[in-house]
Amino acid sequence: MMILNRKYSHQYPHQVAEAGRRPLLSRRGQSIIEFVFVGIPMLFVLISIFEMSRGMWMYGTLAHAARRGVRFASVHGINCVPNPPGVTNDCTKTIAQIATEIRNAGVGLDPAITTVNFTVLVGTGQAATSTCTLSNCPGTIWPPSTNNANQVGQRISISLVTPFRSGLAMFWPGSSPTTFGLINLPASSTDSIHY
Amino acid sequence: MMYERSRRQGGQAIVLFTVALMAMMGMLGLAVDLGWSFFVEKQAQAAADGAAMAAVKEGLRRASATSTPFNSLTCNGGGVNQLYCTNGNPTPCSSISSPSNLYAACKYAEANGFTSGGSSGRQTVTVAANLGAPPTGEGLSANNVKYWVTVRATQTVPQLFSAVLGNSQGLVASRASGALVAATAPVSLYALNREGDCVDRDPVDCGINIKFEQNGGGFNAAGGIVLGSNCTSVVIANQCTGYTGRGGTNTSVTAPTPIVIRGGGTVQNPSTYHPGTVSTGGGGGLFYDPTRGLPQPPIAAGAPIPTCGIQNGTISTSSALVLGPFNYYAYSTTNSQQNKPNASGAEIKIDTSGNGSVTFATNGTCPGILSSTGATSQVGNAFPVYLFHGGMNIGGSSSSTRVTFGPGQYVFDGNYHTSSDENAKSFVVNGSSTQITTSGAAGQMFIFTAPTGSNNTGYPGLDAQVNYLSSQTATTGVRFDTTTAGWYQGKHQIQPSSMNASTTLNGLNTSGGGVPDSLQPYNGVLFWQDRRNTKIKYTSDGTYNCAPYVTGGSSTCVKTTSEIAADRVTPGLQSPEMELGGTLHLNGVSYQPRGAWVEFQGPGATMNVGGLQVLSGTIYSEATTMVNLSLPTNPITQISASLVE
Repeated sequence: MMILNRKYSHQYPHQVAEAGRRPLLSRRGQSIIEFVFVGIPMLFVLISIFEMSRGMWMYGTLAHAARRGVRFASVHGINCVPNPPGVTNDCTKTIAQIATEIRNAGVGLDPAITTVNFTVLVGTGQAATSTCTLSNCPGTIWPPSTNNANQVGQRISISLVTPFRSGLAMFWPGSSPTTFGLINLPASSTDSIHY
Repeated sequence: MMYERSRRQGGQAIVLFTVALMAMMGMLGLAVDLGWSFFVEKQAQAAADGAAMAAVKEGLRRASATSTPFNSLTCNGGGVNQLYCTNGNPTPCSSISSPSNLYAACKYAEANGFTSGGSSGRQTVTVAANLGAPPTGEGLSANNVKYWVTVRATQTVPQLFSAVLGNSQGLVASRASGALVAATAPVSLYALNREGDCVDRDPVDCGINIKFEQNGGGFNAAGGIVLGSNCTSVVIANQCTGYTGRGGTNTSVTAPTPIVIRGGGTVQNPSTYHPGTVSTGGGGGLFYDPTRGLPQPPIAAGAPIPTCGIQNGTISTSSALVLGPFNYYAYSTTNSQQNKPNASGAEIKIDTSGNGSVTFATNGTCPGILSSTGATSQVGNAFPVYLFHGGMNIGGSSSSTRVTFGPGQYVFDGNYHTSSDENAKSFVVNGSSTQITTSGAAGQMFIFTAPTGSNNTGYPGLDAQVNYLSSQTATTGVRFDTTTAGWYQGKHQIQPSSMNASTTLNGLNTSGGGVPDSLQPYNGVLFWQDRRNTKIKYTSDGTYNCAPYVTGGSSTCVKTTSEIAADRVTPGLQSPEMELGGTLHLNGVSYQPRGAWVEFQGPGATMNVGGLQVLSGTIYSEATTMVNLSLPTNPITQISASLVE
């Protein structure tokens, strides 16, 4: 209506004025009011789309990184030996090396605030577990040989948690309007040791 | 006024928008095109993984079907049981057809949405395969990888938004390599007997994996325990004599991880199992004979080795005697007309007294009648072959016998007896303070077998030795040949009367030097019992030639009477028996096929067995002894098809 009126007002200002409408000058605040009604929800929707997409992207990255980490670890089990059987295995991988693989696969993740949990499952129990920050993982061999955790068939699990801070939370009714909301995104992947 | 302003500033937004559009398209491209590429990459990886696995799994089946030793696989590429190679060159799936095992890769890639030239020509799938280790993998060498397949799946992704920035195409590629690898699984105790597999003891035990004869004693297995029977408290005739694990409340079974039981099997007193049990479904995987895919280790001498006749089978000495790598047998007299010994079929008895000792070493001699022609000497070989016909009895007459086994393959070619009796023994250690030691780094491999049966399914490499021995002995004695009845495998007992007796033996160590190529896949094997000496139908590659047991039905896994006779299964002792007692320092693998049993005898309160991996059908605790098995030092090498990269 607004545009239509304005268009008419350009072409037939006098007719419009004569039709008993209020003068153009007095309608200038209308667009601001309309913007408040339409624009703010629209901005909210837009920001929501951006933030949700960003969150899902991060989750997708996280899940992809976890999977790549597990895939890497699962082909570096006890039998990954360049030497004849019986000779010391120098193909073993450390937690730090697996973490590097995860970082390379997870472009966009902040390693300083992403925590990673390594677990080896045997039967219904847990043979070994280790937790570290992605940027600072220890140089211990994974999967470890204790409890036969590096045997073929044992299940390796890697869980990643990264905080996702979103401005979307500011719009949430009742939340504090000055801080970004914090959601911890979790992702995990499990595979058996292939060899 | 409004009209005036519009006229002056109206085009500005268009310009700004156009400039912003470039950046926005870039961002959109990042999100949409890159996101799509990631999605396609996941699909490509799944297709490549599945394809590579399919090709090597089919390759494993083919390698097993022809019984080709793992170390001498070839790429004949000429039939349904041959491996195919591409000399390592990536070959598009469009040029690969059946019956190549690589065709399986292409079909699996296709099932996962990737074909050569698929998706309007945007996809490629290439397969590369060769013997040895793949050039791209890590920690892979020809020592542990014998055949590999690498699958590459690629797809060109047309760019929707990134095209604005000049990238009209994006290439997504995934690679996966599968291989036939030598893998180890150091489980301490593998009890392979399934429901329907009966052990010929008194009473007969069917479908039992662990049994305590006394209410006491236990097993402490550092490498874990796997039980293959799914029997529960329900008794089913000829199938389950009750629980898969039977023992009183004072017994104990301990492992670092829960004891794994196949498909719903339960134990009599679960509280005596630490840290509990876990039952998993299915009949394959973990519960198969771990040596499946491996033919039996061949006699490591291609040509007949010289025979050495021992009069009355008696080797008794009070000095240091060194015996060489020969084909030993006992004889009673010499036939004057034929000028050859009359073989008696008796066991070789070894006793030493005082400072005496018997050592088996490559530079040793023959303290009897040595054949002179027609044989190839093993003397001087780093890992020679010793054969014994009629069995060996150590310390039967002297309580302090000392025997040293040097590196080599020791083959016990059965025991001669015509009735089913307790004396059917092919390897016995007696005495109260017998000392058995070992020398050399390459270890020992003991093979318990018997001559070929009438259906010519003999032990690999043994026939030539038996026939040669036959030609060297008089026709009036007990005949050593492939047709004479009465040669059976018998049982194997290390059963000294006291813990003062000590037995130290180490399994084959392929990095110990001089081990023949044909034995390379059998690293770790200390005792190997011929698979023929069981009622269970094995195929030559160690898989079972039977359908899964049907409840209440008869087992198709058990051989017929004629098959049992042809395979020289011991009469009355149709489940091969091994007894272990005294102080043991055994390292390596004790292999018995499904259907066999092993018994731990003590007699002390504690038995530290060493880093032995025990594979057998049923495991018995005879006394109230605590049996400690440390982590297997050199577990069996399994051939498996797996992803390696």
